[in-house]
Amino acid sequence: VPKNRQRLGYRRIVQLLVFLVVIPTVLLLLVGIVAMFVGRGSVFNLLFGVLTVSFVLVAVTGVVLVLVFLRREANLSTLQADFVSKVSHELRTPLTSIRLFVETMDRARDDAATRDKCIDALGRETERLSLLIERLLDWGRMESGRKQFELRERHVSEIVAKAIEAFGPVRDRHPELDFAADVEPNLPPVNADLGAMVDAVLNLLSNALKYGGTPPVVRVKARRIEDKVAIEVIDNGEGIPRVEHRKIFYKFYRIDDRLSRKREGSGLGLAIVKHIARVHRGVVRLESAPGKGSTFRILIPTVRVASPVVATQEGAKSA
Amino acid sequence: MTVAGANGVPKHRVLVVEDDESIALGLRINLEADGYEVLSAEDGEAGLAMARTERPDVVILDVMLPKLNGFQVLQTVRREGLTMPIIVLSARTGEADKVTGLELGAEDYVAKPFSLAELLARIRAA
Repeated sequence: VPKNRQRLGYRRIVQLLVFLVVIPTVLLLLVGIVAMFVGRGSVFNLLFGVLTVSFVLVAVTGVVLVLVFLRREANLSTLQADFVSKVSHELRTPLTSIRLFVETMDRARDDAATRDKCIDALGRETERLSLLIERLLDWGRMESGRKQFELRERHVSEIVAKAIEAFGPVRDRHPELDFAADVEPNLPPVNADLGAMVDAVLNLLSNALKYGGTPPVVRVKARRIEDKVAIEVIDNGEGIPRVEHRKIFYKFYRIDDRLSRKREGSGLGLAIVKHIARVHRGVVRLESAPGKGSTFRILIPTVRVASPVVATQEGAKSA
Repeated sequence: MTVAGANGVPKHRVLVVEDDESIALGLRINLEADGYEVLSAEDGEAGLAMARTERPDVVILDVMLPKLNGFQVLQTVRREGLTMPIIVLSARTGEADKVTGLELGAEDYVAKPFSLAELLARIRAA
């Protein structure tokens, strides 16, 4: 329902634009052309005509820009509405389990085995809930620019090793996962915020596992590409169609259809990765096609001079 | 609904279609403790197949499911003329979703997080 209302608002604005701007500009354009050719030889008429036509061009550019921005805004608010419903679902699921297991424990007072199962489940679900909340808060801090990144000279091997270490507990839970790392020796150092970079790589790793094939095969590689270092996370999943390549980095965007929840998640993971890469003056690239798995590549520039820099949000945006 | 088993009276069978492992486990523990036989399916397709072949007495159906969503399962089950009571159990709590669920032929619509006692009472009443 809210989606339709939004669409309606968007269409209304387009209609207004057409009636209030486009029609008068077209008339003005005609007047301009007539003025240019009718008063043959008159410098004044020619000048008037040229001015009118250029005014029309400016107006047209303005209208096109307004439409582009409106369209973006409309898409973003749709995504945001979906995000709210997604997140409330993701928060409710562990909460449902917690309530369920508390009530189960209450009913099974004399059954030690069931109680143990409940305690396990409660631990797992509270962990899941706190992870999700952590992710949301993290995003909130980035979005509002309150998150500070401390860029220092770091070794890529250190970043990858830390990310693999943090990925450890997840690997333990998925014994079927085929995982290997391949870090080129003697990589030049990069200016990086260790925590943030590790988080970005970890995000890609958990995505690779989540969207990987059966059994999942995940590789993490670090290598030098010209004056940049690439950290790549490769999976054997079903691959991502070309049309989705840009969209998946939009915040709140998820490939899954709204009702068929394939995998849990907030829709923020890749947006966070992209943001972190940008703070490091780098980019995230995706290589993927249906049936061919996906490669996510974080490219960040290497450093020669060592100078600790504190980059704020503003620094990242102007970069 | 009477529940028995040991004395030869057939137990009531409940099919739980839920993709979240923990919730499925919690439901199974409690339903089994109450003497039901529990069948479970993790996605819509498997749920639909089990509803067809196993003919459970009651179905507990999540909405956000992989492959086929709960509403699609509900619609198909009813179109095929299966009449067992279906209780939709969903984190989608909007009025529109509740109306959709009930109009598609659900017996009941329980919002997550739900109260266990309430859900069990609804299953008994179904």
